Amino acid sequence: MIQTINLQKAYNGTIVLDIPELIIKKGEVFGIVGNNGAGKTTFFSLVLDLIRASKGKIFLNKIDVAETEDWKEFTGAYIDESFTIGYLTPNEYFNFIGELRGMNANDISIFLDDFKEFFNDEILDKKKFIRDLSKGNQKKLGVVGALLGYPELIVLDEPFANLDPSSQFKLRKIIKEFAAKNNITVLISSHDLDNITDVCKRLVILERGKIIKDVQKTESTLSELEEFFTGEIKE
Amino acid sequence: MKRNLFYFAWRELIRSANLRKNMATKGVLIFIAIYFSFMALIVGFNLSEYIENNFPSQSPISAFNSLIFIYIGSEFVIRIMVQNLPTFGFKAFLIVPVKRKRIARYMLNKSVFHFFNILPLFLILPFALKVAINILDTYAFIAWLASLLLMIFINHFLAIYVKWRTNESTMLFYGFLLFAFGIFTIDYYNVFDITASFGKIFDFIILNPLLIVVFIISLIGSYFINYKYLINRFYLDELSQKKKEGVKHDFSWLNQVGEYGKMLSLEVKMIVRNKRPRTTAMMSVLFIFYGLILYKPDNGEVPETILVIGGMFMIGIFGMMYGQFFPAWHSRYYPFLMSQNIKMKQILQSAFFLITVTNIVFYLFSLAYILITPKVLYIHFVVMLYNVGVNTFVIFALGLGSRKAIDLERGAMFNYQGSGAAQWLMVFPIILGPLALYGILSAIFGSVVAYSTLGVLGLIGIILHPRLIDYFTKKYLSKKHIMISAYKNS
Repeated sequence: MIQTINLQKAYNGTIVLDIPELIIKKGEVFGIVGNNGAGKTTFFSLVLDLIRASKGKIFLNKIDVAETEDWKEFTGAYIDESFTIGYLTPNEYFNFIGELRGMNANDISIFLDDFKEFFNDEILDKKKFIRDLSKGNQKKLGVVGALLGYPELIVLDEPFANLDPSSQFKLRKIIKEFAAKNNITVLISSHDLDNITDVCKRLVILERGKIIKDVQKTESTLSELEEFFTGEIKE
Repeated sequence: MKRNLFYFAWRELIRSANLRKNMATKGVLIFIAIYFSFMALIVGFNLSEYIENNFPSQSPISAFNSLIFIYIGSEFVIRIMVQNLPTFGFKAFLIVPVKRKRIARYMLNKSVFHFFNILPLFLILPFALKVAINILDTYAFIAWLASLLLMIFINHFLAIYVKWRTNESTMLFYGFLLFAFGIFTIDYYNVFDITASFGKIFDFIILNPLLIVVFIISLIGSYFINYKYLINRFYLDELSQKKKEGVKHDFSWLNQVGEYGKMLSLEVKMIVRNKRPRTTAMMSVLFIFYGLILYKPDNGEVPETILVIGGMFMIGIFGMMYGQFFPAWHSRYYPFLMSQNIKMKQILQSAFFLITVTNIVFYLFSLAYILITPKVLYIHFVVMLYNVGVNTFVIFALGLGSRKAIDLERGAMFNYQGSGAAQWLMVFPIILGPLALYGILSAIFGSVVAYSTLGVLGLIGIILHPRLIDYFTKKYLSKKHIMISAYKNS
C-alpha cells in the first residue's frame, strides 16, 4: 500500500526525516509515536504530497505521489484545522467530500448514520458554520470526513487530541472496526500511548526523524513504550 | 504597578510578529491619508471663493454653516462603512485587577486618535482663519469653532455606537442604510430642508455663544452611551465582533455545471458567506454605475477611449478583484483541497467559469449604456472577449506568485492584508496592457483594426482555453508545495 524509498526531508541542510525503507501493507493500522519534532507530521505531509521530499520517493499503491494526482482518489486525511472549511455547515462539508469520492447524497447520509453516536447530536443537521463549532467538534468532523467514502488509505494526525474522554473511547472503537471491516490502511500518530497501542496493529517510534523501533503489537507493547518514553530503558 | 494601558498597545504594535508587513500596508494607508488631507486642504482654501460665487446673497458664515450637514452626514455614513471599532486585547485584562471602567475609558479615548477626526480640520481651519475670524467677534468665533470641533467628536462617538449596534444585527445595519437613504431623499427633494436647519444651529451659536454648552453636553452624552455599552458587555462572547450567521442557501444546483461544479459551488459559497469576498463582490456590482460618471458626452460624443476604459472596469472588475487574490481565497484550507479527490485542473476550470460568467453578466448589464451611446454594444463586447480570453490567463499567471494567505472574515474596504507587490503590479498587464494595445493600434491603423485585434486575441484565448488551463494546471502543481508552506507561514 505504502512504500518509501530513501525518503529524506531536510530544511536548510538539517535532516528532519530520514526513512530509508518502509513498507506498510494493505489493511494495516499503523501507528507512529514520538515526541514533538520527531517528524510525524512531516511524514504525513510527505505521504499527502503537501511538502516536497528532499530525496527519495513515496509510492501509494505504486503511484508516485509527487508524480500524478491519482492517489487522491483512494486517500482520506485529516492533519490539522486547515482540513476543514470554516464557512460550510457540517452537512455541506460532508457532501463536498463525499461527492468528490463518488457518493451521492443518500450514500452520504447512510454513511453518517453510523457516526450519530460519536457526533453526540452536536454536529449534523445544525445550521451552524464549522467555524462556530468547538475545537473538539471540528476535530470529530474532520476525522469522519477523512473516513467518508471508505478510501483505501486514511491518514490521521493526532486524532485523539482535543477530544473528551468518552469521545476518545468511541473513536478508538470506530477506527478499529472501520479498518477491520473494510480492510483499510490507516496511518495514525498520537502522543497518547494508551490510545494508539489500543488502535494500532503495528507501531513505530520515531525519534529525530529516524525510525528507531518497529514492532507488531503484543500484550507487552504498551509497557515497552511507556518504558521507552520515561527513559528507563535506553535502546 | 499602574501602567498606562497605552503602554500595552504600543508594545502590541512594535512587538507584533509581522511588524514589517504591517508597516508596508500602513505605508499605503498613510499615503491615502496624505492624499485626502491634501485634497481637503485644497478644498478648504477654495471654500471661501466657492461660497462667494454660489451664495452671493448670504453671509459667508451662514453659507458655510448650511454646508456642514452635507459633510457631517456623508462622513457619518463613511465612518460606519470604513472606521474600525476600538478594539484592544482586553481579554488578558479581564482577570487581572484592572477596573473595567478603566479599560472602557481607555478603549474610547484611544479611538479618538483617528484620521477621520483630523481630516475635517483641513477643511475648517483655512476657512476659519481666512474668513470667519475677520467677520465674527472673538466670543462668537471661539464658540463657533468650538462647536464645529465638538461636532466632529460627537459624530465620532455616535458613529462608533451605531457601528457597535449594527454589528450586532444585520437587520439594524440595513435599517440604518434605509434611514440614511431616507434622510438623503427627504433632503434632496426638499421635503424638509434638513441641511439648512442644521446650519441654523451653528448660526444660533454665533448669536448666543453660551449655547456651546449644548454641544458639550451632547459630546459627554455620546461618550457616555458608548461607555455604558462597553461596560455592560465585558464578556468574551458579547464584545467579540463575530456574528453567528445562519445558512440561507447552499448553491448545490451549481454541482451540475460539470466535473468542476463541486468546486464552483464551493467557490460561490466562499464568496457569499465571508465578509471580505462578499464586500469585494458587492463593490464590483456597484461598479456598473461607474459609467454614469465616466460616460459624459464631450461635444455630443463619448470618446471611444473612454468607452474602452469604462468597459474594462465595468465588465472586468469582478474578475480583477477576485483574480488578484486567486487562489489565496482558499489559502486557509489549501492543504485540504490539495489532498482531496479534486484535481487542480478543476479548481482552475471553476475559476475560469466564474470569471467568464461574471464578464458576460456585467456585459449584459452594461448594455444599458446604449441609451448614452450605441457604441457600447460592440466596444464592450470586444472588451469582454479580451477580458475572458486574455486577462483571465494573465490573472492565472499572476496567481502563480500568490504567497500570502487571505483572512476571509475581515472587511475588504481599505484592507491590504494579503496584498503584495503582485497585487499592485497586476494593474499593468490587465488594464494598461489592453489600453496601450488599443491606443497604439488605433493611432496607427484606426479603431477598426484596434477593436478586431482585441477581439481576435480574446477569441484565440477562448478557443484555446482547454489547452491553456492544462498548461496552468501543470504550473500550479509545480508551485503547490511552495504555496502551501507560504500560506501556512503568513
